[in-house]
Amino acid sequence: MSSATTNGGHGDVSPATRLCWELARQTRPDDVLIVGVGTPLAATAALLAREVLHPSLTVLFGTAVAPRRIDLAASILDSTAAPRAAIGNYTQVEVLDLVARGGVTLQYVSPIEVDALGNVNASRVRRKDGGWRRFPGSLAIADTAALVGRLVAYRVGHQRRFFPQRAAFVSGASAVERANRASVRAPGAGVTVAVTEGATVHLGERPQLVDYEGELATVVAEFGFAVDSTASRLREPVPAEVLAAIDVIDPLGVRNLEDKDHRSAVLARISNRGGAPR
Amino acid sequence: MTHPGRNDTVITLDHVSGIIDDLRSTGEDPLVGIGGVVLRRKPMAIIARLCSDEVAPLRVASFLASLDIEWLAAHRRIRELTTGYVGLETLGTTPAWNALVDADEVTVREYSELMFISGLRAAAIGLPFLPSRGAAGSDLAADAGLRTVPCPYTGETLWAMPALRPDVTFLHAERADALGNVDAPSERDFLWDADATLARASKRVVVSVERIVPTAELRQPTLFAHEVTHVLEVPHGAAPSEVPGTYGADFAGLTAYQRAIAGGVEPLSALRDAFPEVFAR
Repeated sequence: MSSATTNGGHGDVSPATRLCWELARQTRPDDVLIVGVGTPLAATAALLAREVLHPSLTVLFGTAVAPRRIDLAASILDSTAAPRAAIGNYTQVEVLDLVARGGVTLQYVSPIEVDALGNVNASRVRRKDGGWRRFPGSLAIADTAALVGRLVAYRVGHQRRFFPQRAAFVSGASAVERANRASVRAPGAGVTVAVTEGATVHLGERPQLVDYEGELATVVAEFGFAVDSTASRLREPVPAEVLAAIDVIDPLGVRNLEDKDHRSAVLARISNRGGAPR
Repeated sequence: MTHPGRNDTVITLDHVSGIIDDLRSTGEDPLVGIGGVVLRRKPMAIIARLCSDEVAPLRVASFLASLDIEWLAAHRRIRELTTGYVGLETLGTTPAWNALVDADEVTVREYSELMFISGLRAAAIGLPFLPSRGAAGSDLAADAGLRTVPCPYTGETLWAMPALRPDVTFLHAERADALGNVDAPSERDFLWDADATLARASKRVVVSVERIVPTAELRQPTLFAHEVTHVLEVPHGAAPSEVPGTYGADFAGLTAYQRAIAGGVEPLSALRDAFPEVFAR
């Protein structure tokens, strides 16, 4: 499920576009939201949330504080684009200090796996021969899972391998499970929600499906753990004004870089600075 | 060009491998820090010299690694890495590194950002550890053998992040004087300050720069002569990574590299074809 979503019969949108809206909807008015520099989908979602939902939202784009309009395509190639658009910039130590003292309330993370309890894996999975296959790395996920108010996991591709019963490796720990996490009084809630283009699910001891797109049975079958779907509902189409805002925020469709089916086309567009389909 | 610095402050690329040799001659198994942030300010000219056949595989600490580690991996000049990330962000993968890892030919110590930075800060202030709540409950903390300590005032349990102290760190910057005062980046990009944190945790600091300039021409030094062991002038010394405000990353070369790998070309040959200027140094 990573080609296009039907948007409730209101014209196709890309999975990344759908995800941007669903992630934006996870924000609260006074959140301090941090997104990684190499995650253009999360960056688009954060800017979208501030534009159409909560103008009071504080967005940290890496270490750049509350950047105004950012050229997201330029930021892929030019690391000074976001800092130049910001009110100011933290140093690395300063932004880690902010996280450590509980000053960040929300983060979007894109792990390899998220399990029923909200443990996230961004590090490695087992190969068939029993060895480990490593991924690029988990950056600060271990820290933010413990220290940031709440994390929302997302991924393009509503697939069973993203939702195992148990994560093969715990890069970031669930707040509801690990005893040694509780012993250090880590204040963060960890990953409480996971979002794909196909569904939004609340994680915990009894995971609950919030909403979904397409056939309910098909969506539920892609979870590797039991999900209570009794209170779930079909997703509404992405509103036209939201799509218009996304087009302004991310005119080249850089958000689609996080969709492997679209990556090479987006890179070509960035290179050519051409237009982008929705 | 001669520079009025300390007698041995200014060196050339020809001295780089000798720095490692000197450390090993004293019986050390040096931990080598590499600065830069993903595709920015990687000291690639120095890295290329560390890929000499005369340099035995290294133990390296590079938190946000990319072509630095890919280069060392393609030449099989790395045997241990402490890191939080190895990749090219949205621009692609690091196949030579991935192959070494998949073959279990290298030890990977995956650290979280707070594990890494707290370790550097502990080293920088001369302490054996820093307390933290970071990484709590994670398998990263368990793999690293992190231990807890009680707060002597409240009894609260905290993680003790062990000091991370490279024996020598290699950086790239825009400008320095011949004494070893190094300018901060003129364009403040993401994590522009990370190199100074790494440097102050390290026993020795070697900085390649685009230009060595008179002291009066420095704009805002961030590392000072008494903190820097050597500087060397290497124009374009971070290429194919970026020096913000001076030159960009070699997007065309990175694309060509990924295309060659996808076509089945072996990584070392693909690097040689995509980035000939680095091999020509």
